[in-house]
Amino acid sequence: MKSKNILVVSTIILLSILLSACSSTLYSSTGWHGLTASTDTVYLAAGAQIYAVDLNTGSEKWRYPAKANSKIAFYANPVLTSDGQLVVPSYDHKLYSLNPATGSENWIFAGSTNRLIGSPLVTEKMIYQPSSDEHLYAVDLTGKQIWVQQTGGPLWAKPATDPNCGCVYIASMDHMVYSFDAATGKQLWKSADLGGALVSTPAVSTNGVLFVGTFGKEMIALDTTNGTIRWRFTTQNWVWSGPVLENNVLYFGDLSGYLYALNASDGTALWRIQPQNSIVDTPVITGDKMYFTTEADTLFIVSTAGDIVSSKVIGGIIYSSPVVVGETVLVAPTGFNALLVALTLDGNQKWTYTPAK
Amino acid sequence: MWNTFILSPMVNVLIWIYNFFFHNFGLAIIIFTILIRLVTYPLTAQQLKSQKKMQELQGSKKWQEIQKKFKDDKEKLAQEQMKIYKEMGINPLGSCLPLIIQFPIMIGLYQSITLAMASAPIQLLNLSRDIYSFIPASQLIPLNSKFLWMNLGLPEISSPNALIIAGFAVPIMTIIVVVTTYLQSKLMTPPANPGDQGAQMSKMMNLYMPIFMGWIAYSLASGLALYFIISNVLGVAQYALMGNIHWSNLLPKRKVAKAK
Repeated sequence: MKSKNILVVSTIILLSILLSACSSTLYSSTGWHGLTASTDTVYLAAGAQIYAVDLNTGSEKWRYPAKANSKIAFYANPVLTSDGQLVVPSYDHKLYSLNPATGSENWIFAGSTNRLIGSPLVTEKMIYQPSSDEHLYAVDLTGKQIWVQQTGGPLWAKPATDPNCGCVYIASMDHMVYSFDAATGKQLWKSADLGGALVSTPAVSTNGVLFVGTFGKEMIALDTTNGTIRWRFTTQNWVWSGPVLENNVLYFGDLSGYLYALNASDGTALWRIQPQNSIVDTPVITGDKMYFTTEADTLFIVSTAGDIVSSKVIGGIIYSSPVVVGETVLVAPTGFNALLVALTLDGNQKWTYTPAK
Repeated sequence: MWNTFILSPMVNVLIWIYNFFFHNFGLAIIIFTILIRLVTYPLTAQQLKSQKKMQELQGSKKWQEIQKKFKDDKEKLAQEQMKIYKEMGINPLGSCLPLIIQFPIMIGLYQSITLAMASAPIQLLNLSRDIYSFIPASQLIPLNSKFLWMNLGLPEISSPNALIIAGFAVPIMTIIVVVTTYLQSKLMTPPANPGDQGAQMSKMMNLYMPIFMGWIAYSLASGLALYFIISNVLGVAQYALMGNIHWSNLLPKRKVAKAK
């Protein structure tokens, strides 16, 4: 009988462990790595830790926290402020400000009540942090909350700004775009229901048009003065990738793997290509070349005319947008032994970074 | 395989119910639980039938005799027991099967809830691929995860509106899960026959199962705790309707005085 009791208890413990292994409190594989870079350092938000890596050599400078803490998870792109801070949102609901040179903590903003998934918009004086708790938090550069505004859904997209109006635009998962006064937080307008959740950062033109992709399989142009719709373009699938605006052309991808180029004035298609798997990241344009990754394992280099110039298999799964600094392209794959891969502008590997245990 | 036959259908049924019932995910889980109970009803009935037969068998003279006769020869005892099972048409695993079936459902439901709630980017990407084309996903996502004080996609104590007492989040759903699981186990366990070897095992299960379920409810998405509670209540109601509730199990047992 004693052995039967041991069997029952062991079975229950084993089942507990198995089910707890899927616990939502563990953040692994719930997001993809965030990346930003200065002229000499790359900052990588890779789950439990943030790594500062030398841009030229790929050697580690520091990591934060020094010992991985499973309660903290960094996945959004870190942002460098003009006064020399590195601001990083976390899934533990907090916004961390670090010294980019040493990784030491400056301050922590703990006003959010849910995960911080999107990157903050940083201006000269303020940090605008979107939160899954449906609020947009405006904090100053010392971490003090200045204002907070609620929308109708979780906020995953990085806000956008328009210096001409002194306002902040935020795309919400409640299917609407909101415009708030950057200084006071007063709501200036909100758009109509755009037919699908919005998770990508809008692009804003200098002539008063905001472009945002939706899960309603559309790219939509809005008037920045009142949020009315200027034009709509139907895509093949959900648009997760934020559009990038260059020379009045919008470039973005969708989850079917199409990369589109649209005339920003009227939303007509200039070209589209389907290189590989789903495109989640926002393309990066330097000169006449565009760098983007697909959900498979490849970095593509495409001309702004829509011709594939080259491609480079990196490995793992790539969701994060590449970052281009000077002559270096940085890619942060997920589920790969190297957390960071540095390449030349032609796609030749320079170095890889795998953190020492 | 798992995704195609278990996870995807479960997620889609949940979202389909959500779409029809006021866009309330808590309500969708409750209706889904009722559906699961209805679908597994034949198994529950089978379990009950097997349980009754087994109890009758274990109380029979023939059974008691072979227990005594072969008490020192376990192999022979097992052979004789199997012979009697065959004769009486009893499947010895018949009463365990519905319990075993509960586990894939539980795991599938947990995965469905976290997938449907899509509270992180990779979950949302996966969801976009799992939704069937007839469901208007782009209009429904993100699903409204608020129900009572909970965010159904997060553990109860991580919900922004969790009840805080003296600085600590009180896991109300976990407490209800523990209580209802204990009550369900007690009410459904038939009185033991003398010499019943399974009685000790049942006693252990009645003690550890509520703790196990409580731990799961505490550490995983609160939507799962809601499923456990509704499932427990429905289980008791179902057994009561079938006339198999043992209310006497809740009363304190009097110790029989040993004859002097």
